[in-house]
Amino acid sequence: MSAPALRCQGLSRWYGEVQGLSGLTVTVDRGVVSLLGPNGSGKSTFLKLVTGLIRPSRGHVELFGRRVGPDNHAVFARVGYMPGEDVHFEHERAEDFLALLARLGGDRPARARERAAAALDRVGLAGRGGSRLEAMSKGMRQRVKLAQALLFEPELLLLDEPLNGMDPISRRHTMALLRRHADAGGTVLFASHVLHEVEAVTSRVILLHHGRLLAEGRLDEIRERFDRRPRRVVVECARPRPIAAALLDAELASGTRFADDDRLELETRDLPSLLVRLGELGREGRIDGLEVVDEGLEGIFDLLIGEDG
Amino acid sequence: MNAVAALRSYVLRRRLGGVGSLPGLAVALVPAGIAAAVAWHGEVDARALYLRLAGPLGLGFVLPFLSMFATLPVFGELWDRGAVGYVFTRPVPRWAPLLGIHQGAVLAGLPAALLAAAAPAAVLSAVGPPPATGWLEPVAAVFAVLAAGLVVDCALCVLLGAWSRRAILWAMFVLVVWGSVVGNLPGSLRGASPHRYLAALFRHWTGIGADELRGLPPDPEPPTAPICLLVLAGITVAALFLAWRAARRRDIL
Repeated sequence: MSAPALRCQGLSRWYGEVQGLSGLTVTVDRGVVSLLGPNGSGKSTFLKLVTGLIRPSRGHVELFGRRVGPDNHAVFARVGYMPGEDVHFEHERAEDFLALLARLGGDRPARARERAAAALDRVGLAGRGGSRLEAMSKGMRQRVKLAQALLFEPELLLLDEPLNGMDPISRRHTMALLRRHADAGGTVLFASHVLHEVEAVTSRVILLHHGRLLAEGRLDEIRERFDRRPRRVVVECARPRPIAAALLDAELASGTRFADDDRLELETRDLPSLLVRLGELGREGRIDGLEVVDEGLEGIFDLLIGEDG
Repeated sequence: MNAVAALRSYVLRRRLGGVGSLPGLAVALVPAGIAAAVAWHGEVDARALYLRLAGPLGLGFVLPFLSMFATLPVFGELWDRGAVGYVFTRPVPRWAPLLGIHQGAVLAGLPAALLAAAAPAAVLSAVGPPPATGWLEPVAAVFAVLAAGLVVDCALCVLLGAWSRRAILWAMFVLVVWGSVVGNLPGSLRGASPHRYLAALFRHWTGIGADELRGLPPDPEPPTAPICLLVLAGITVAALFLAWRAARRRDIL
């Protein structure tokens, strides 16, 4: 059995007194996995540790079974990394930038040019290679960054906020590209703090907060874990107080909050029964609409962060 | 190796294209400017003035700044801003980009070094008779010494750039204070400075005596040219080795 694309054990990193990542143990192999967390949660630190750009304070990382370190550079023939920071080589033309990196990957100059053109084509920038990076929009520079990660068609893609600054069409194009990469047997680990982006691409997540692992696995599995926890439902109705009182009396709601004159926020430990009763109230014309707040990834994330303190 | 060649080409493109070459060219023209100013005020011994400008001024001022201008901006672009992350996540050993940067910086500094060697001669030849030996021999000798100095000083800059975010401050100390100042002090201390060996090479290759030149301190027992080249090569190799060690340990934030 071959080693997983990425495995890290007890991975920690401190920046002086500040903890960037704490004791992370995860395995990633095949498919698309999202590294999800708010800004400052440790996503970029994790990716820099995985790529060996920073050294761990504790623990270690393995890519394809080989421990990451400054002397194990050969493994990067199988990895494409897209940093979160801007592209930096502003004065370079896109094709020169990509050709430079292709040559670092071992290509001769002519082959490097061909590879650069092919990578630009894959990200929808065919014919734009002559533009200087400083003259490109943020979204185009993001695509050039993605192109450099794809140069050698690596098995493992490590992408830090790849959709930042892209227009909707580019986002869809990029999401489709990531899914195709995974469908072809590759592995994609992409960091994001935008929840709906994650849900659009994958159901497998690694949730980080304050440098710690909050949860890992499929979204539906994580949801199941939290089904027994209080859930929130927002109800739109003209007369919220009598409805709140009735639901509390029936022990269908464990807490209520009046968010507005016509909005009632309910907390419940028995969501199915509450939804049945709310359906009846809806048919009686006593409520105008409802929303199960915790149903989306955002709700789970809020719950987890709340639990984490 | 493709990785070395790729970084060498990148550095050459950045340092010789656009405005990247202007600081080095400006420094290289300083000896010619002084030569013009001195010649303007009266008759001069062209060869003596040329060697005074090319020796103390070339080695003590032009060379360190030329090396810094050729090398350190590359580290500012790649290391300090994190762009080297694109380079270090390729299947290349970390010494390869450093070697490419060193070679690129040396090559990028050579045109300015040639200008520093040739421009004062051009100015002086316009205002007076040429030296008995002609200009080619001293200009070639000065250029060769500056080129050797570029190899050493650029290697020291590569070490400092790979090691510290404050490389410019360290380079001022190492190249100017330790290099030019300590290297020009009389006594045994200057043996610890690479400039003692560059000054000795300068004397050997220009054919001037140990105490003939004002501006360079007398060196009663200058090392032979092969010894100088050996010491300078040793410093270069040691600096590049330490740069590789530093690049292995430095975090790319």
